[in-house]
Parts: sequence; C-alpha cells; structure tokens
Amino acid sequence: MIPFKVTYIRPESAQEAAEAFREISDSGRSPRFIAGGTEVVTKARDHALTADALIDLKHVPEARACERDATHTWFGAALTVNDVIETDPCPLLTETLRRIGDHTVRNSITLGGNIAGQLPYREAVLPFLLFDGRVEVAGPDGIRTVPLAELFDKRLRLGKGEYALRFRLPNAASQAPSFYRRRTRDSRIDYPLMTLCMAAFGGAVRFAVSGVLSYPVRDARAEEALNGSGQAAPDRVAAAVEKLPGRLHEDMRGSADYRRALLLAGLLDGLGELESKS
Amino acid sequence: MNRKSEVRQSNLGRSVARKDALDKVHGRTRFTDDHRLPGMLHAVLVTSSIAHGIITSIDVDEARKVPGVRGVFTGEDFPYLVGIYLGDKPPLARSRVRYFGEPVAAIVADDKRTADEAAALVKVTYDEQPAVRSPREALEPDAPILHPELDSYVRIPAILPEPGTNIGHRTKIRKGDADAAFAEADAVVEGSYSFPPGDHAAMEPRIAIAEIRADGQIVIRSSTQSPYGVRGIMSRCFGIPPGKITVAVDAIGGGFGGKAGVQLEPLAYLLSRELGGRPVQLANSREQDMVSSPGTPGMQSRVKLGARSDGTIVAAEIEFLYDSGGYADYAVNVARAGGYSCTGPYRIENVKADSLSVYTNHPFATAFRGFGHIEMTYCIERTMELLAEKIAMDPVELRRLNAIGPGDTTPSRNVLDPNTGDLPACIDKVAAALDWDAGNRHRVDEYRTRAKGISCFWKAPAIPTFTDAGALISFNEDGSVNLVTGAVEVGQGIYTGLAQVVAERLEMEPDDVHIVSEVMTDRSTHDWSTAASRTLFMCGRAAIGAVDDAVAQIKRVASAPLRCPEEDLRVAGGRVFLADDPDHGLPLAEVANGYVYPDGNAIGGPVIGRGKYIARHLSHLDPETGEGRPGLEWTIGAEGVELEVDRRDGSYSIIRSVCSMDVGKVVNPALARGQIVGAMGMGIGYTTREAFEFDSRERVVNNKLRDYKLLRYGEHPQYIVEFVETPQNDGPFGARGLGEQGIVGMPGALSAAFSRAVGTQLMELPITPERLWRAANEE
Amino acid sequence: MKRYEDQVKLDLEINGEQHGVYVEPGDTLLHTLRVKLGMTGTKLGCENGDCGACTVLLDGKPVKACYTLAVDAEGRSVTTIEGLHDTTVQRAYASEYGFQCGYCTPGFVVNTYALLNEHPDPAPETTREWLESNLCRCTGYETIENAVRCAAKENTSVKGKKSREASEGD
Repeated sequence: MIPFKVTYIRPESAQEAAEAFREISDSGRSPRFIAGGTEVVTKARDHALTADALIDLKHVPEARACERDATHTWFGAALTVNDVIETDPCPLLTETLRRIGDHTVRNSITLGGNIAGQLPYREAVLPFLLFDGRVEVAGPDGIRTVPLAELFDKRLRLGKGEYALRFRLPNAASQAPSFYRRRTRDSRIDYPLMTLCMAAFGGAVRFAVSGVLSYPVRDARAEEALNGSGQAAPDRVAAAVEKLPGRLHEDMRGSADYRRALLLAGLLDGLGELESKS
Repeated sequence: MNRKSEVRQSNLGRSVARKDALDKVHGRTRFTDDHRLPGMLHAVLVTSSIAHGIITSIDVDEARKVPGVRGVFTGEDFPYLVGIYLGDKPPLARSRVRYFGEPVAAIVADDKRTADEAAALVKVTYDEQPAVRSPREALEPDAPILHPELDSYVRIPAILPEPGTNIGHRTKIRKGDADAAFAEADAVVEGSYSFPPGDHAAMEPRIAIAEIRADGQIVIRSSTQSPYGVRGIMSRCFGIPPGKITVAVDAIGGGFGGKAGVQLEPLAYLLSRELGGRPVQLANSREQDMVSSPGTPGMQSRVKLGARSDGTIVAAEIEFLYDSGGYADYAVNVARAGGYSCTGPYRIENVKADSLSVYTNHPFATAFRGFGHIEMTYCIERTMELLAEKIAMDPVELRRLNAIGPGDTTPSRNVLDPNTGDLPACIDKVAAALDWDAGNRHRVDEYRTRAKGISCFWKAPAIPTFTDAGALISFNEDGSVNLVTGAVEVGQGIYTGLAQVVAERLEMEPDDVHIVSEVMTDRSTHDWSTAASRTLFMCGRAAIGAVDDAVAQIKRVASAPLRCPEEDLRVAGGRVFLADDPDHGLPLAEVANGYVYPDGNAIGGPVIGRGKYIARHLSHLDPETGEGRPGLEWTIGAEGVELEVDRRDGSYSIIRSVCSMDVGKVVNPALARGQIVGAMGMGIGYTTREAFEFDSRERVVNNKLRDYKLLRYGEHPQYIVEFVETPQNDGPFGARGLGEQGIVGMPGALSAAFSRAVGTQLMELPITPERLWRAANEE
Repeated sequence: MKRYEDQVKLDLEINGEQHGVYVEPGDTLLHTLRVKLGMTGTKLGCENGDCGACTVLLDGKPVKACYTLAVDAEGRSVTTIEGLHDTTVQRAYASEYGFQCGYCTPGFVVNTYALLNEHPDPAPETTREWLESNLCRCTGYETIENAVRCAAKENTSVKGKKSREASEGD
C-alpha cells in the first residue's frame, strides 16, 4: 500500500508520457515513472520513496512491443521480464533474465524497470552492454537513440523527464558463444554477489558483471587485460579483475574477498569455455 | 453414520485426511486478520531506530493532526510491566529503548493507511548509548546494566534473575564430581561456539484485535498459541478478573513458539481501553514481526568433554549463554531447558553446567521450536565431533557407545524409566539410511567433496509442573461426536490427531468425530498452551478421559432399556451393546441424548463426557544443583545428512536428510512425517542462513524476507523419516511429542557434514557458502 | 490518457464476476481484494513481494498482489483463490498434505494452478522455477512437491483419456 496521496496517470503514447511528466513538475509536484510497480510500490510503503504522481509506462505502445528486423531486435522497456523471455531473445539475455527476482515477480518487473530502477544490480543491462546495445530514450525533446554504453555509467543517465522506451540488441548476439554465471549468498532467490555475462563477440572475449562492484560494469581496460596475449589464463583473469574501475563491493551478503574469488573463478571458467568454442 | 462394528480397522497408524484440508486449500480458513469487526480501528507502531538509548523526546503533534487519527500513545501512557515469567517489559518503551525495533509509540486511526501516514510523522530523539552486543560482553564487569530494576520485577519462583548484572536467569547443574572426573579422563576436548539471534518467520505476522464491551468484557482475538496464557498474564499484569477476559483464536498461520506466551494482546487491549473500548486491530508488518516482536535466541557457549580412551564420556563442563536480547520473555525458561537437558542424550555421570539467559541490546528472544534444546544440541554435538576426532573414533560409534537409555540419569538426576525411547535403534536407522559404513567423506572431483554428518537429539517439554489440558465430549442426534479442547490448530493437524484418538477410543470412524475448531477461553476447556509438543499427549489424554466418562454415562442409560448390568455393555461402532451378544444393543443416536421408551417416557438426557489431564511428578529444580524432575517425557532420536560442497566457492547442495525418532506410537503417519520433515527443512535454514545481521550500532539490517533468507522450494533435500515406536505408556495409545524435535539435531548433523567436507571444524552459525569457502581455503 | 487523482471507481473482473469498487490510486490489489471486497483468501505476508502469500492471477499469469496497484487490474481478468473450486490442484494439495498452517496455501495453490495450465506436466526444474516464488515455513516443501506431481499426473491422465476417447470417436 502506498501510504500517501498520489495521482495515477496512464499515458497511451510516448509523447503523452513526456507531457504528463512536464505538466506535473511544472505544477511544482514530483512525478515518477512506474511500470511493474515491484520497486516503486514496495519502497513507497517503506517511506523510502515518494511521489505526487505516478506515470504508468505500461500502455505506451512502443514500450510494449518487440520488433525484429534483419539485423537488430528492439525490446520495449515496459515488457515484463517474462514477456522478453517469451520472445526468445539471445541465449545470454534469456539466461540473465531468468534469474532476476523470482518467476512470479518476473510477470510484473519490466526490462526498463530493472535497468533504470533504484536497485543497484540492474542485471538485465549486462547483455546489452556486452553486445553494444542501444537505448531509445523518450523525453520532453522527443525520442533519441544512443549507444547504451554512452548513457550507462553505473546507472542509466537520463535527463529530467526522460525515460527508456526501448532497448536494442544485434541479432548476431544469438550466435555468439556466451557464458553466464550467477552466485548469491545462499538462496537462489536473492540479489547477486556476482552475475557474470561473457561472450566471444567482435573478435574478443567480452564480459560485463554486476554485484561485484556496487554497480554493473563493462570495462574496456579489463577486457583488454582478459584478452591479453602471451599470458596464461589465470594471470589474464587476475589482471582483468585488477583493472575493474572501482572497489569491490562489501555488504551483509558477502565480503569483497569472496566476491573477488567468485569473479576470478567465473572468468576463468568462462574464458576456458569460450576459448575452447572459438 | 457408520454402524460397522464387526471388523474395524484401527484409527491409529492411519494417514487420515486432515480435517482442515478443504478450507485451507480454498483459502476459506479464517485467520485473525480475516476477521473485520464493525467500527474497528487500526493501530500502527512507531519503533526505535537505535539499539540502546534514552528517549529524550517524542513529538507526536504532527501525527495527531492527520485526519482520521483517533489516538497517539507513548510509553508514559501505559505504566505497566508485562512478561510471561519475569515482568520486565513495558508495552511501549518508557524512557529507555533496549533494542532496535522496540515499540515507542502507537498510532490508532480509522484505517491502516492513515495510521501509517501518521506514524511516519512521529519524531523521536534519543541519547544513544553504547550497545551491549553479545552475552559475553553483557557479563563484562563494566557492561551497562540493562535492567537496573531487575530486583523489583514480578517473577515466578522458577526463574532466578541476578540483580545488578545482566543475568535474567541461571540454571546450575552439579551432578557427580566433574573436576575429579576430568582429572582422570584420558582425553579432554573443548569447543566454543556462537550464533546470532534470528526470527521464527511464521508466514502469518502476529496480530491481535481487542475490544471492550459495554459491560466491561474484554474480548481479544489473536494469532496466539496460548489463549489461556494470554488471559492469565493479562489478568495478572492488569489486575483484571480472568472471567472478564475472553481470548479467541481460530487457525493461526504458523507459530513455532513465536506466538506462545503473550505478544501484541496487552497493547491492543490498552489501546482499545483508551478509545472507549472500540475494537482495535494491532497487526505487525513483516519487518516489525521480525524485530519488534520476539525472535529466536542467539548463543555463546563453551563445552568441555572428558572421556576414557575407549570413548566413554566421563565428564562434562558446560556454559551456555543464551542471548535473551532486551527483555526476558521466554528466554529465561529457554535457558532453564538448555540447562536441564545440557548433555544431550548421553550418559554422563559428572556434569557441571551453567545455563544463563543474558540481556543484550538485541531484539528479544522467546520460545522457538526446540526450546533451548536446538542451541544446546548444536554445541554438544559439535563437541562430540571434536571428541571423535581426538580419540580417532567413528562418530556414530561414539554416539552409540554413550547413548542414554532406561536406568541412566539425566543432568537433573532423573532416572529414565522404561518409557524412554530407543536411541541406539534410531542411530542405527540413520546410519543405515546414510550408508554410513560405506564412508563419510569422499572427493567427487578436483573441487567437490561429499560428506555425511550425524547428530543425536533429545527434548523434554519445558513446562510448568502443573501443565494441564481438558476435554469435553457431546453427541449429536445421529450419534456422532463433538470434541471441545483448548488446543490451537497451528498447522500441526492437532484436530485430525485428536479425532483419531477419540475415534479409536470409541471404536468409530474419525469422520464421525467433529472438532470444535475455534478456541475461546470462556467456552473451551482450560489448556496450558499449544506449545512444547505436548498437545497430542495432553489433550489426547484428556480426550480419552472424556470418552471414558461419556461411555460410562451411555452404559448407565442403556442398561435400563437393554435390561442388563452396565458392566456387561460395550460401546463401539456407534452402538452400545452386550459385549457377549453384540446383536443386542442400541445405536448411540438413541441413547446419547436420552433414551425414549416406546410409550414416550424418557431417561438420561445429553451425555457430556469430561476429561482432564495434569502433568505427573514434575518438580522444581534445585537452584544450586539442578536436581529435580523438569521433563514429562523425553523424545529421543538421531538425524543425519549427506551433502556436497564445492571448495572453490563454498556452494553446496544437501542431498539427503534423515531423521529417526522414537515417537512412542505413530497416530497419523502423514501428519507425523509432515512435522518431522518440516522441522528438518527449518533446521536447514536455521543452520545455513537464518540469522540477524547487525550493523556497527547493533541495528538489524536484514529485517525483511528479501534479506533474511528462508529455505525455498527446490532447495530442500530428499527427506527420509524412520519411526521407532517404544511406547510412552502414559501417553495416548503410547504416543509422545514429536512436533519440534525434528529441528533439534539438524545444526549438529549439518555442521558435522560441512566440517568434514571442508576439512576443518566449523564453530559458528550460520554456515554460509562464504564461510565454507574461507574454511576450505585457509591453510 | 487516464488520470486518477482521488478516489476512483474501478470496474474489476474478478473470478469471472464484475465488481465495482472505489479505490485510491495508490491502493494495492491486495488491499482492494481483502479490505474493500472482503476476499480474504489472498494473504498478506510481507507486502514486499518476497513471500508469495498474496499471489493472484492477472490474465492467467501469477503476480503478487502486494505490489500490484488496483488500477493495474483494470481491464484485465483477476483470479483469486476464491475463484478456484475443487480443482485438481486443490484436491491434490488436500490429499497430499501439501499444507500445514494454510497461510501460504492460497498463494501456492494459485501459482500451481497457473503453472499446470501452462505446463500440464512440468519438468521438476520448471516446477522449481515457478514455486520458488512462494515461501512455506511449515512443510519443508516435500508434500508440496508431491501435490504438484499428483495434480500433474491427474491432469495428464484426464487429458490423455480425453484425447484417447476423441481418437476412438474418429
């Protein structure tokens, strides 16, 4: 239950959503986009989040569609995680999505909600980072499309009144050999200590990881180290972890040491698997 | 109704369908929150944001202004102290808060949302004090004394607080001469153990609805295991005659000890009283249920065992420090239970033990499945493993050698009678199910190791010496039976079990036994509490008594129309008839509510069978030696697990979990298995993940089920249950308690197996993958 | 563009019946069902999406009613435990002792019902994927596992029989 007065707005186009946002903020009130509600409603109950108006993106047609052309597939940001899984996207995205929340929650939580929400894990972004995905952003100035890597720095950097409308993956991602591993403190239904996505793509092994730092990351220098020639795999893996930008995360779920160990083992196994396939 | 009296299948040992099945699978069972009373107000608590401190101000002005708020109350409004054994807790904190989450104010409003909104506007300021973070810290000479007024608290005689310290209770066991026996022992091992407090996490958060009728009758509907306990404690604490209090409970959504004693009821009553007696619902949020209401005790302990070289244990020296948190609640008696059972089910002649309940600034602790025995057993079983390692003896053999049995004495020096379960048989069954002799550890591959572990357990109910139960039986026009008791359906299936007991005694079908499935203290029969795994035992005995009483009345009435001495009659299959000529008889339908002669004359009247039970031979423990008889019956058994650990990241899977328990007599195999399997599953969670995490100021950081992990579907192992049946001759048809015991050996068995898998003895709970990884990789 | 400022009257389809109900825009479906409509079979366990006691179906798919806004149920069909009568799943939970206290049971039953509609004979890993969304504190999950298996068996045998009958008719 949201324990405060709130207005609910259900726009039916991208433009209406942007206008609703502007109108509410122009009147001095605070609007907030909502889709699945799994985060907004529960955090509001906890008084950990407030809003004067909730703008529901679930009825914006583009955000609810999945469109595939010869080279790319666009996934609407307001598709639920299970909706996206049903479109049978690339295996790595499927694997990643199938471990977000639990099965029931995945019928509500949306792709955009997972990537643009407040929780730091944002696991769904990993395959998009890995395969040079793009994001379509809607806002007061219309719609723009940008490489996700440009807009994603620890979180999606959106301007005021902007929201993610769609995310794009190259269809070639489906053919890329990939590796996925997720580790939690104990229960499978939990936030990750490590979610690791790896793929042999674009002539190199790429990786993106969440849970290990306090934000999801794909880092060029770390990948360079991982692909470095002339070194044994364990050394390349160690060098890659060393190059990650930021301190390893530490919280009640696990220590930094443990996260490092999980990542080292994950990268080593992933590297072995991917190099044997390519 | 069924009139077969010829060849009747026994009702015992049969998996009779549960009485509550159809309502439950249709969502029709009414839990407390499903009762909505006209004009009902809703209360929401404001809780402490710190673990320890002095309340310097509470500003409720903004909260009062919210439209729909009918009252805002703080500790000063309610100058009472409440407690089941030791009256140490104000309903709302007064001047001092002693744990994170302690209620400091209550808002009552027309609806919950309004109350929530207002609660967020209450501003409390504190002068934060250093928190006492563990029992050992609490016993340091310079530790803050959390209850300076300990001396003045009202208490029952069995609880022995030590004023001027943080000790809420101490049970001393002094049996034989431990010092001398250690001096002569060939091998001595010692271990120190610890684990943090946690939560019961019953799926239904605690809730109470209180109202006061115009005539002053207080009516409380609550998710309680102890309706008569609530009545008694409220009567004592508020000086209300017990007859002016009615406590009602229908089904409750799991208890596990967390709904025993007294919970939200006193505060709900006080709030209703302040609001002219209007119904007030006080419901915990999940977060409050986890930390504001009591949880499971943590522990720090030290166990020393001395043995001869052949493995015979000759001495034990034990210190159990139960972490009671900010208040005593049940924890003082939990420590007492840990004391009188302190050796586990082993024959040890020389014992020196101190079992303490110690105040800290943690959420307070209450009864939890196993009641002191789970904590105790973990520490003893860990030390048994140390001993086995030290003397290079097979852990199963060590346990078999020292297994307690009839003729041996308990730590409180009771001689175990022939009703005692057969521990060696249980050990053998577990060892066989685990294929123990094929080896208890093997490497699967470079990283993975499989290992097995075993634990014994015992448990006796920690009950008052006068623990009682009553039962009433009446008959319907068709001769079917109604049974009234004070037993609460907490999920264990007690109504089905009792129906089987009654049906067996009456030699009829359980379908023809109707159970009055709601307890109301003004019309049910007195019953101590649905706790301590004693309900089937005691209510079963009372029900048998009620049947016998009814049967005598039936025979008296029937002897006239059947023209025979009463003693020639028998009641079975819904009839009363001549034992030697079964065709000559009458259906109960024609007798149980009075017999009517063909000419219209009538005799008899409604038969009302009365039955009762009160615990036998129980006595208080001597404060200096622990001598006395605390336990009505000991349920004994063994458990074992097989698991596999990956040394690289500490991830594991539990392959199988085995329990063999001597339950005396299996009344309903499916229900009995369900209790044991459920307890084993809970024991896996308890051992591997269920524990509060504290920040540097002792605030609980995992007070949500998002962060406080319970076992989920698919994480459960294969369960194997093997019953042993050595009759409890004073139990109903030989049955003894079994509801809690399945959890008791799990931490010991799992710890043994995990320790074996990683090659080092693990001395702390919970055992997380990270802990396993560290242990496996430390050189 | 719909906009709900204050109390709003929603027409909800619940268990095949139309229900007009006044809600606040911030009211959850759980609150609406339990408090406004008196459908108390759906249980409140954590209000945080963690326990699954409040599981209901929206257009046949399980969701947790504690984080679902009532306004989101507009135009969709809601199925609660009150909408299931003597189903195969319920009979199986009853006969297999797939419950104890019964508090999590409506959530499990509703989720299992949806599972078996989509996967009449689910692989163990599929059952796990669905049912790990719900917490049960009593059973240790053994009898729930048995109940699902029993219901699936009955489902498939009934369907098998029906299809056999159909082919015999040809």
